[in-house]
Amino acid sequence: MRYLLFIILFVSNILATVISGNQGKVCVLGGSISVSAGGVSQNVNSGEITFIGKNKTPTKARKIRNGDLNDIEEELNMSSSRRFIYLKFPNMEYKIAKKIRSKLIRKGIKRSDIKLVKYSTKTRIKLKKIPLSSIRKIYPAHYKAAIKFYKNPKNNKRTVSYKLNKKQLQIYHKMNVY
Amino acid sequence: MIKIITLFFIFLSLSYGSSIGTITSGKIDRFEHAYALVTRGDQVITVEDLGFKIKKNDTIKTFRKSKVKITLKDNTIIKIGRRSTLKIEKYLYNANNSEGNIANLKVENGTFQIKTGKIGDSSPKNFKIKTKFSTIGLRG
Repeated sequence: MRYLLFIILFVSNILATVISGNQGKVCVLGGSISVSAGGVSQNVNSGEITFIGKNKTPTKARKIRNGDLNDIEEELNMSSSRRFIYLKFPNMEYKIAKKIRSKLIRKGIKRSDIKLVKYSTKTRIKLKKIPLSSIRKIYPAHYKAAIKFYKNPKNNKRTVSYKLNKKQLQIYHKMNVY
Repeated sequence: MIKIITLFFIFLSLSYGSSIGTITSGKIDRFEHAYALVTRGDQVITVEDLGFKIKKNDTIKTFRKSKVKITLKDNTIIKIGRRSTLKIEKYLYNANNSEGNIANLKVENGTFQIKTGKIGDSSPKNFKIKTKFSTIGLRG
């Protein structure tokens, strides 16, 4: 009888549908759903994501990529307090800044969080207050340093800020920014 | 004396019977000014601690610092992030009769994660989630 109960509980857990999302996207971490908007229904299976918007139909479901869930996970992490980071980049050519910006967007950083500031002939990239988890794979050394910074309870109300140098950019983005 | 005790237990069971879930965890702390608000009819109740009982038609709203995790009677788990609003439009759960079970939730703002429980397993067609721009249904 005990084993039967365990099997029922185990199977019911597998059967559970897990849906994560916000007002712009819906993803499925377990099970299968149907997302309807604008008169169109889109089936989304486990491991897939669809994007929705005002007066728009849901996009075709695709596999969840790295970075898709960063903002959602950060919001839903019940134990996290403010864990953000400011990142500044060295001055560089505008074309190189644009390339780095598109690389960052592909890796999950929101376009609205990346600022390109022009100083006479050079451009500087500023990442303004982005969730710490989003740079975990992009700038791992800075991520580890920020985690250490936030472990100190005196820093609970502060936000860490780092400036990357040209050597670090060459290593992380495999680009010559000189 | 017996009558008083009986009435007390009836009252207890009624008050617990009308609740459909509980705020089981989250970032709710009055010392950190992390509050959530629950709108119940004309009443607006401030949630300062965990263990708050949720009832049908409640609207739960989180703010800049607060996040909540709600567990409903059928083990549906709902997490909402900061600056989010969740409305429980319809909820009916009867463990003995799954045909009439229904759960309609509306996430008007913000971020959510929902893990379905027994209503989602036994009556997936009766489980709906609405967001600002879409409706989500389960495929059984």
